[in-house]
Amino acid sequence: MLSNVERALDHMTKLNWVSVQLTLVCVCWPVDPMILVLWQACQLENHVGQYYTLPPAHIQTVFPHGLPARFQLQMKTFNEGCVMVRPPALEVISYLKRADYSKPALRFLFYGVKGSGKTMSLCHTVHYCSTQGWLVVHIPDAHLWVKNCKELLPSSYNGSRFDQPLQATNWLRNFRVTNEQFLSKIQTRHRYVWTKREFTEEGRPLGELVDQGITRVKSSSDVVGAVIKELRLQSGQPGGCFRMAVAVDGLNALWGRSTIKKEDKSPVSIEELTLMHNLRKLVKNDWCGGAIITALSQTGSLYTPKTAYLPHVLLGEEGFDRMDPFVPVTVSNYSEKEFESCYLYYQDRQWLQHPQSRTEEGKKELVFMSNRNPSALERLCAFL
Amino acid sequence: MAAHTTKICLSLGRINGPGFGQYASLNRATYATALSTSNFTGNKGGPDRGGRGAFVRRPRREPGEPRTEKMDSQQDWSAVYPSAASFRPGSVPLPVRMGYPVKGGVPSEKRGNLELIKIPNFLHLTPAAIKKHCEALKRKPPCKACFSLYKCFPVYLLDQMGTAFIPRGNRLTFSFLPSAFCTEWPAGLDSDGDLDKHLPIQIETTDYVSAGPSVRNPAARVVTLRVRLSSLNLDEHAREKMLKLLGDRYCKDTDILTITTDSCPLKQQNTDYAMYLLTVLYHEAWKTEAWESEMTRADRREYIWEDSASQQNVLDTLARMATPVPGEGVGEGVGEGEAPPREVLLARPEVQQYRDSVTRLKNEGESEGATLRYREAVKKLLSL
Repeated sequence: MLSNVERALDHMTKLNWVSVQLTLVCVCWPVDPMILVLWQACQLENHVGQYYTLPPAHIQTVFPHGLPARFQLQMKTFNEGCVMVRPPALEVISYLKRADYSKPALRFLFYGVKGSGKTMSLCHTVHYCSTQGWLVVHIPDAHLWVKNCKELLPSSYNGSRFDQPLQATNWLRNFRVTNEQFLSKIQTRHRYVWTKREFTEEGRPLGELVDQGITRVKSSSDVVGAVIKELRLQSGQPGGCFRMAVAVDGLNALWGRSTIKKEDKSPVSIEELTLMHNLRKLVKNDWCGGAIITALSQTGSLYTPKTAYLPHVLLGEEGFDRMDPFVPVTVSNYSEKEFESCYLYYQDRQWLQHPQSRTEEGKKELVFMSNRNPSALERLCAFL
Repeated sequence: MAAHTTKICLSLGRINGPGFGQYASLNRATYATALSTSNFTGNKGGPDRGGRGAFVRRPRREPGEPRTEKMDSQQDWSAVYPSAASFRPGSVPLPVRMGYPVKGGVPSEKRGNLELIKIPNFLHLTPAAIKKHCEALKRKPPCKACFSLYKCFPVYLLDQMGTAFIPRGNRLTFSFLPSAFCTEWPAGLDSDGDLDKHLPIQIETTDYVSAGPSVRNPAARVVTLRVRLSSLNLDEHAREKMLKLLGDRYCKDTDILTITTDSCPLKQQNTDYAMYLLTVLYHEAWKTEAWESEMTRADRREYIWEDSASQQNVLDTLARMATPVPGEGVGEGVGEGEAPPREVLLARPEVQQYRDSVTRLKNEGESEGATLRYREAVKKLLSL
């Protein structure tokens, strides 16, 4: 590994990359495996503001459903996925590097104003975990599970709860894509009976369980519950072969309100949804051998004020008490250095077509108009 | 008298029986003469009353000469016009004329002149009269009342009185010139501390003075009572109950309870009501009702960390982390790999710091600073 790094460093100097102080964007294209190795090994503080490219193969496996929509559009336009290295993600990654995985799972929460880059930081951390060979349980947006549910079935396992087959099947499919390599290695520890004729024995590979959920749509929510239970039991065990990273975006949906209504028009509480019930069990820190990385989101949330962004406000009393103790990590707008980097990247990709945008005054205007907010800047530049 | 004459004539006519024809004309002449010799008093009683109504009018006196003729030029004018009164032509020895003149004429004289009566006059406020008012105000008063003056007299009076009123905080003290409305400041009450010790209750009232026909002002009934809670004898339970009863009327920074009453029409009634409210609050706070035993965590005024979900979470997490700190007084009953007992865990400094940060976060509301403090506390707790 060390020799690889040395070679990578050597390679880097040959490419004449200028250091961050001169704020030149280090975009590594065409995709160079050396750079990837370098990135894996030394994500240090002095790389703040620099961009790194996600290899296309990784994008398809790690992020079948995780990346923000606008970023996906940008990826399609630029033909590459470049993520900026920012302090919040670096901080969490540093904790993950130093953590003791025999202790209960650590919980991290990204919070910040709208558009400051919480989801991107989460994705960055998830990518790190997956490159380190962890099993990633990524719920891209918990808010999607509490609103606009077309089909709501009463649960066969527990009569008072409701299943959401479509959402569960979708998620299982993406989970299978992300964690292909673990599905054959992990074995079930319990026997699960789905119907009179269908059951999953003990000792069967997890992949079978997942396939069961994808093919038999009716029982998919319960399959999700079973998968979560198995993973919680087995991660961190002395004989266990994996570490688990749980990534939840829009964590405040777990303790908020839902807009789903039953047939008699009465609202469904979060506790009555099987998926959410199991998710709440997942984010408790009563298992070890992994980490729980979460992000708040006001944008998709229901019945929360627009200006709310602090953890206690969005999670509510109950949410805060359940997540306690967690490490809140603030994600703020771009610093000057980061803004420069982003601006140069757009310029480099020929994204800023307007002649005024390439001048100093134009840049100042962009700073003023976007207040260095990443999503605002991205939307502004899309017009230019 | 006329009737009497008529009767005599009738009797004369009857005596002269045989010579009837001769005297007939004489009798008739007697009648006619009798009527005509009487005094003619006009239409007495009116034509429809016939000879019945004899209405006697009071004899009319001629008006005497007006008072102005008898006035001395050195008289005391404030005796003529001691207060605001309308214009009396007979009392004002000035040849005033007012009104629009007839063509070729002059404005009408003061006698019977409605214009002069309609307009306001300041005949009661001549310089001599005002000097008398000022002398009266400067004199030492017989009454003991002490109250605050709000909308004071017209400006010229203030100049005459000088700066006798100097407000000190909510109370007015008087530096020099014992004036008509105040008593001397009691000796021995020199500092605010003395005042609070001996006179803990402050009652604030406002009096209004304005030029107009009526001295009443409905705003003068408002009474504000202020008292420090520390000067009341309250134990823990009583203080909590009192604070719950008071709500907004209590200021935490200054420890002052403010009761404002204006529901009664009179100031005296409002002060009595305010004192009554204070008494009732005090006695109710000391009582413990049966239903107070049903108080839940949500009913409490402030968040208490002890026995909360947060404390439970922390104890569970630390128990599972299970690394006894060297130097901690672990009891003999605890084995090597077991968690230290609860009290030991709670006594750790990082747990104390965590407790403080959570309590402050919940009680004072969330802010960036509070979240950062919480973060530091959690990092120390989880030894990141």
